[in-house]
Amino acid sequence: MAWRDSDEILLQRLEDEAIVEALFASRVGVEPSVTPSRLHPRAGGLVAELRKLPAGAEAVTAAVGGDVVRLGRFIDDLELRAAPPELLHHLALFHRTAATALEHRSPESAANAWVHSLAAWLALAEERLYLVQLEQLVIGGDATQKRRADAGIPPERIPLELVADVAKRAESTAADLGAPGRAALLALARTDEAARIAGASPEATRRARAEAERRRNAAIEAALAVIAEGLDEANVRGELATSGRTLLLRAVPVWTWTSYDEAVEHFVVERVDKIGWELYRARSWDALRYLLDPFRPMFENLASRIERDPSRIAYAAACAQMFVFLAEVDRYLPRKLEMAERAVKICPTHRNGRLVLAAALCDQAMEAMRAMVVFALRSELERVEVLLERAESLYPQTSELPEARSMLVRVRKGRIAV
Amino acid sequence: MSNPFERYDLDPREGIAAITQRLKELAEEAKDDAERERIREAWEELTLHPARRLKAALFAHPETRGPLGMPPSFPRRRAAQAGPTAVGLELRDLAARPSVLLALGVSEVKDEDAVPPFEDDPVLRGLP
Repeated sequence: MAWRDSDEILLQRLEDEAIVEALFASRVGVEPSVTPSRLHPRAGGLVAELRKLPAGAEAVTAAVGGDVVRLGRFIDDLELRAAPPELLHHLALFHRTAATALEHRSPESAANAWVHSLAAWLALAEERLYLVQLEQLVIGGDATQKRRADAGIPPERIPLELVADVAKRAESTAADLGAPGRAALLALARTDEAARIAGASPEATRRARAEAERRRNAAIEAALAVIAEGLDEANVRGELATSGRTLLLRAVPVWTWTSYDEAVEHFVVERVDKIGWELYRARSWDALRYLLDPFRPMFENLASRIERDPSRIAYAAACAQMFVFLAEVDRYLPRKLEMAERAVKICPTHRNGRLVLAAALCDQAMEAMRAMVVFALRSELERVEVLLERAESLYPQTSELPEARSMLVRVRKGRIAV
Repeated sequence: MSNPFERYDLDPREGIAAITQRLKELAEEAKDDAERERIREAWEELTLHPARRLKAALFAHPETRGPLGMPPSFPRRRAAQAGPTAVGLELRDLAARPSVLLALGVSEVKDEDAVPPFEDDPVLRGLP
């Protein structure tokens, strides 16, 4: 028997199928023989397309010799703008399949795969012609022009189909905060990165970002809706102060699930504010402290965001109120001062923040003066003066201020200044 | 594979007629009603809703592999000797790759792709 061209083609197809399986296995960290294949044999076309590229052929040869890592690096470093559309289509689907295989075990790796899939779709949409031809072949023979127009998707909207596909995973796992949803939310927050990998136009980047943000927010809202409903019902029953904390605690895993999304922080701040004031009015300090404790990292995160970005001023007052609460419930003066300072730093005009800080400054001044038994250091007296001046400038009506002022007069008269 | 094009090994570019033909064959070969029902659902999905067909096509790997040629012809003398039930292979049935033959200094390394003679056609010979 002699070797024929058909034999060569068949062998190459079989090799390509084996290589793409090995590449997939190296991506998802599973031996090819362990699980049934998720890839259709046509996925071998990915390798066939890579063979057509000069450097790709070398990487495939290395993969035939067992080095699939090099091939993996090659597809990661590929300049997508210059890649043939057939290769982009294969890559988009390969990464998508890898993402679905990884999403339960490793949401971060799955998110990476989603980002690469979206990048390939964005590059394919920039090329346009391939997608137009594919659409013509797939639905071109359909009965009427109108029906074709209804069914068709403009190439620039096709990456948004993947965004929708990813977002569905977030929405469907919003109730149980599943790992696939976490991977999806991570990926939806990284559309700019996908656009950069794809070399997409600013317009395509903006479109993908807007769609991803819209869908991401919807998924997060779905996760928070359960908590909001519970809190509203508790409010109607008049049980917000007693059961609000337990209900709101679920926002902590939602925050983790969303990879610390700002929307969850806003939600928590808004709801803590409502419960907090009920406890404050009832002077239930221990309950207020108990309410605030699990959410401190969220307050810190939101405060940092506001400090970094002045355009977030709309959230400043609500966030500052959290630090006012924290200052109110802290019995240790230095920490009370720290919290009050933070409140005023976030929102310099916050009335309660200024009031609590002024009171804490008076307390600090009086504490310093109580330590002056016979002698008083001049520098210490000057420091007390500065503290009281600052308290007065922050909130002149502070109830502790007259007492602190008269104490200072007494100290000046009665102590020996050194 | 949840994509109907990939699950039933359909090429999205071949159109509705090819989809219908292939799924009809699969439905006839189906082992039970449940399988037939799944095939019917896939057929409806792919033929009655162009938008869904397009989305499924977008998410199915395109066929970009080289086209498969003819299988090698069965040598005449062996076909006559072996009879219709022979399945065993021998060393002489193996073809050496061109790179191997070149290394051995053999100049004629390739056979032409040829349509097998009628007597070697597995269908006519009644082989499974």
